Amino acid sequence: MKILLIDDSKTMRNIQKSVLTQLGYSQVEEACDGNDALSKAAKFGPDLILCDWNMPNMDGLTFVKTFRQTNKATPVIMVTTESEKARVIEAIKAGVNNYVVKPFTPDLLAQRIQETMAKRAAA
Amino acid sequence: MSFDQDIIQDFLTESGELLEQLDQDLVVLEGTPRDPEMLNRVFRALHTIKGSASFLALTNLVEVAHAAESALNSARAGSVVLNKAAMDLILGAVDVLKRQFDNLRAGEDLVKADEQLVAGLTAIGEGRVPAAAPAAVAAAAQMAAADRSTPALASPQPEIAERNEIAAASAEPAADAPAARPGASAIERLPLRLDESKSSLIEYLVSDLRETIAQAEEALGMFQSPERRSGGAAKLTEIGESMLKSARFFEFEQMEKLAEAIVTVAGEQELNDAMMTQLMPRVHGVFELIREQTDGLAYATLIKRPIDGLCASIRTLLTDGQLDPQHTLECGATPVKALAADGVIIEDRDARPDASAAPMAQPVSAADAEPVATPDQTPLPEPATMAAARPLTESAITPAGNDLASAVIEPVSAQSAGGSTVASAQPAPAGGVAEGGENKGGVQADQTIRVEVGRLEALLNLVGELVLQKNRLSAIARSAQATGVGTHEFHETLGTATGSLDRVTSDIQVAVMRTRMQPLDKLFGRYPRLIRDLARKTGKEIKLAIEGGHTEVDKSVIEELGDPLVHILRNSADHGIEMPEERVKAGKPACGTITLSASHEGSFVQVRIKDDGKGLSRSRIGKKAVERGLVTEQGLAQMSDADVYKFIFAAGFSTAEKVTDLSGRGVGMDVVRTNIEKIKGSVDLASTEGTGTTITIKIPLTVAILTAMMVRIGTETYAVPLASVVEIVKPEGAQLSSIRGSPVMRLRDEVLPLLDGCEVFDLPPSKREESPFAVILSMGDKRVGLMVTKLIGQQEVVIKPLDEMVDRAGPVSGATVRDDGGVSLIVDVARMCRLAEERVMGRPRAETRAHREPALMR
Repeated sequence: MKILLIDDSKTMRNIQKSVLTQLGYSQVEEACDGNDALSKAAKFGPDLILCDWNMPNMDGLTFVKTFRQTNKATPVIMVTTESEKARVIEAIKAGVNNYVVKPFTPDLLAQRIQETMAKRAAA
Repeated sequence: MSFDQDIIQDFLTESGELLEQLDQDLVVLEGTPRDPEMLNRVFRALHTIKGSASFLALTNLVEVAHAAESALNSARAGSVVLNKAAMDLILGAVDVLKRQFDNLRAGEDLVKADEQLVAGLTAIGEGRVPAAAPAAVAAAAQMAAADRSTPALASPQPEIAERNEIAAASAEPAADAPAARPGASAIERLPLRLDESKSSLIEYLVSDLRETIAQAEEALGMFQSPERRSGGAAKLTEIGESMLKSARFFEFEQMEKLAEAIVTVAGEQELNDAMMTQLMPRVHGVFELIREQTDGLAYATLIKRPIDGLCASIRTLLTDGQLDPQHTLECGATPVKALAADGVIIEDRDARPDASAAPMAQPVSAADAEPVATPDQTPLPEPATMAAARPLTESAITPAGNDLASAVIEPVSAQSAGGSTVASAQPAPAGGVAEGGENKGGVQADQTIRVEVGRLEALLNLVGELVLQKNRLSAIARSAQATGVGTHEFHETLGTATGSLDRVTSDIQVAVMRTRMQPLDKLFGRYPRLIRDLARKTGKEIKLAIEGGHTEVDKSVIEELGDPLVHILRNSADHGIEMPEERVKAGKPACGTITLSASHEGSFVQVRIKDDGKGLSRSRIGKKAVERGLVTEQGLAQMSDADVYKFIFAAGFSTAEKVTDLSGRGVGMDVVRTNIEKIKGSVDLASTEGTGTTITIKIPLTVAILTAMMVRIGTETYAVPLASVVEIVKPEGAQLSSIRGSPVMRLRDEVLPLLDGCEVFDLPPSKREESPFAVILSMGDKRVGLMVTKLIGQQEVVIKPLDEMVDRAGPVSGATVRDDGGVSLIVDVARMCRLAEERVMGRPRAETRAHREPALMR
């Protein structure tokens, strides 16, 4: 499974990537903001997107809105800090399939990925 | 159990508090068993718990509460004086109640009180106090209560059996009460079951939906006028689509159908007037139902009702242009009529709760009155006492009824406005009597309101966010000034604005923090009972003195402090305080004293547990430490007493010669240390052999917001808790050297281990010149220098916990969002200090202490 990982902090990307690797997802492409993600998503064709919210240039919400105009199928999991939870509804309305609150545990991330993919398979 | 979880929850909260207070009051009462005020207080608490419990048909709980209440009643009437054995029984009953509360919380069947316990209490109620029975009996009674299968030790006396029957019989009508609830109509109200991540969003969803419905109505207004229809349609589509996405995300099927209906309607622009007449009330009806769903969600309820008729009507109308006659509405029909026409019945919400509440109130109040209807012959002199004693007479029915009424009103009125009828249906002519009894509570209740912790958490989160945004704004203002964009005047205005924002934010932060502050009494109140039981079990005499219980700390700190204090107090009572004979021989009073005190000290709170027991034994601890391989014999000889004592904080360390069931399993003190460090506090210990031990805990007032020193290490930014920063130096080459290959620095006459930040956090290694600053950190008596690349400045940071991620990311205790919006890790100073010690010495921590000094001499 191909996963696109969007986060502006390299540390956060590394942490998430190491978690993903441990979970057995080795095909991971990284993007550092929404713009970067849009072009990488087009080239890479991910099966799942993990998207940070607060990023320079283009934030996660704008990315989801833009991405959803052309792609309604690929599931997006929003990775957000707790304080943005009040806005998660906005992301849900924009078409986010699931969300994980930062900081998260590897188990939680794995669970969210499985949930999301299971729902996708059922749909 | 067919009760709303809300009602059970309210019962658990309110009676739970009473129960906790009971423990404290009973221990006080034991000292002054004739104190009429205390007897009344305890009696009333039990009476209230029993009253609410019988309303909820908790038969087992009612039984034990009733037995304890009647014991108290007879003490209150002066027919008995409660001795220690009697008190054991009453405390035993409180323990059973607590266990039953736990059962209730866990949704299990309630344990039944041991018959002997009930019989004992009932006997007190009849004026027969047990002889000073050994504590073991009460303990056995408690144990038996825990296990329902335990056969009764003695069969109850006939008269007691009779009483029990009365109690059981009187509770029965209440047991049938739930059946009196009217059968639900076609509407189902199901408890909302979502996983935690989704349920935490519900309150946001609810407010968003409310806003969205308002917008949708506005859009529908546009849609109705032919000129503005396309604009309205676009808006409605957008709203419908977003609602649809939310409904799918949360898997709310009915809402999904309703949202689909909106989208379908919005997509249809070829509408004639006749269709509009039929359609509009129905769309309003859809909004009405979404609103109902939303209101349900606000109370964690999922409302299910047949809506297919409505959805089908809308579809038929749009495809065929008309409906079959029976569904057709006249012009100007209301949404309610439209819904009714399609088989959706909006019930009269106000009527519902009354019907269920009123029949319940009656049998219960009768039940409540019966067991206490014993004639009371003792004349009571004071009017106040008279009022409180009134339940003994026939007027008991009214106060009991009042209890019930209030118990009913609260949950019901939370759902609808119907509850008030219950109160008026139960006119309270003797209301003054009831109030006379509850006066103290009544006055206080007016000055406080009960707020869900979740709301305060949310508020605190928002304040955290506000602090972050404020920091961010200040950063923007600074950088604007630095780049020289804009006029001088502009910068001045901006400066003033950010300055006052800064002040207001700090004030809000303090105010919100204060809402979360609770007096330590809430915690300390549990301990007199603990110490009393320990003393009774060990045969010691121990007095617990509590000082400074009014000191307030953050709720989360209270939660984390509970277990460590229990450990320490148990240790003091079990190992510290000696047996009375031993104490007298040593020239001390037979009764040992443990003093638990709290006080503010800057932004810290100091909690001190001091006992006048035998103190720690250097020789025993030393012997054990050598046995466990924590230190060598020679090492031990060079250690100070204080350092030797600190071995008790090592994992699994115990010197207890026999493991008792109180303490001595060797899991205590290291858990204490870990727990306290978790909330960024520290533990200190002082002891003198023969005269006692003092343990001092220092904890921060709050754990949510922290003043931090922001530093750059390599390419990343880290937050260092400012409270742990002692100083910052730029060490010269001559100050630096190494011990066994690990870098150290000489600072004045001290040698400190040095850690290279890049290495600790696994960042690309930096050259010495690139990390010129040493931030000197301290934790307790340990100090360490952390080499950093750049100093950024001071910032208020909001701590976000990291959980299991911590180990992966090095010695960090959390993460935070910086003023530039990025994420930083917060340095865990305690772990950093331990890490430094291990590195310098290359051995486990404990041994390093013994060797530190000679090693540094080389």
